Amino acid sequence: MQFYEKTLKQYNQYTADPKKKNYFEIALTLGLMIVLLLMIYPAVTYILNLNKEIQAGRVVKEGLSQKIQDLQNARNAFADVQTDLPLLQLALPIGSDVDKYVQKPLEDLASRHGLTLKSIQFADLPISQPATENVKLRDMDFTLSLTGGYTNLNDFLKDLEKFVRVTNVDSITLKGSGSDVTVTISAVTNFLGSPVIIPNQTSGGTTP
Amino acid sequence: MSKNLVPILTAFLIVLVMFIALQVINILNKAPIPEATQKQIEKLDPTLDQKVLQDIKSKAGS
Repeated sequence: MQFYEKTLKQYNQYTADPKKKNYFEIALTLGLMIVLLLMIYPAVTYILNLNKEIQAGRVVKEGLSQKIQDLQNARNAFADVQTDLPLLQLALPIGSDVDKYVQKPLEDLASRHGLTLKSIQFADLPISQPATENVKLRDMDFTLSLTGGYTNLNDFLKDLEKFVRVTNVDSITLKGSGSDVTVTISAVTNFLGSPVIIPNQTSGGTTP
Repeated sequence: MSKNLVPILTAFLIVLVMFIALQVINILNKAPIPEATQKQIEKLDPTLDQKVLQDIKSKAGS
């Protein structure tokens, strides 16, 4: 009871003067607004976050449904071409497949056209089979030296061009000696291999 | 006492309103989908280029 009387007395003191009363009311209003804002703030942020998550969930659901559909279509398309996979592997192999490439077309075509294969030199060639994931198109540069008749060499080049694994001939150097001609061919073929990692020049090494 | 309290409360209220507004803007501008999920829902093209396959087949056949 004493507390109530004391508070009432204090309130009456504040409200006795109209100017004081106005200040008091404004202060109370501001205080109430601050309290209300502090109370409402967690709810507002929670609702906004929840709305955002619901929207994102809808987008993810739609995207995943579409992806499942696409994967099923891809599986069907893959089943259609599965029988042609060895052909694709021959045209653009995973890994350099250098042994098969030397055997066919190079040695095979050379013997078919009566040419002597003097030397083959490959530059920067990975022998090991890469992982099937994350493979990139890579070049396999090589230099080939052959001896034989000019027409035979011409036929060899024509057949090499027709072979399913594409070979780009960069340059041909001819050296004639009698009926036989020695030709040096610089060419490039492609394969799917691990991407070449260029070491960072700035890192590593020791500083004095 | 109330006379001195009003500017303090006003300033506090303004700061509070600004803080809440900034928080709301931050939430609204936040990327809704995490990067890992974004990568998972990336579209893929299921169609195969049949023309290339036919070209390879015809080249192998010749």
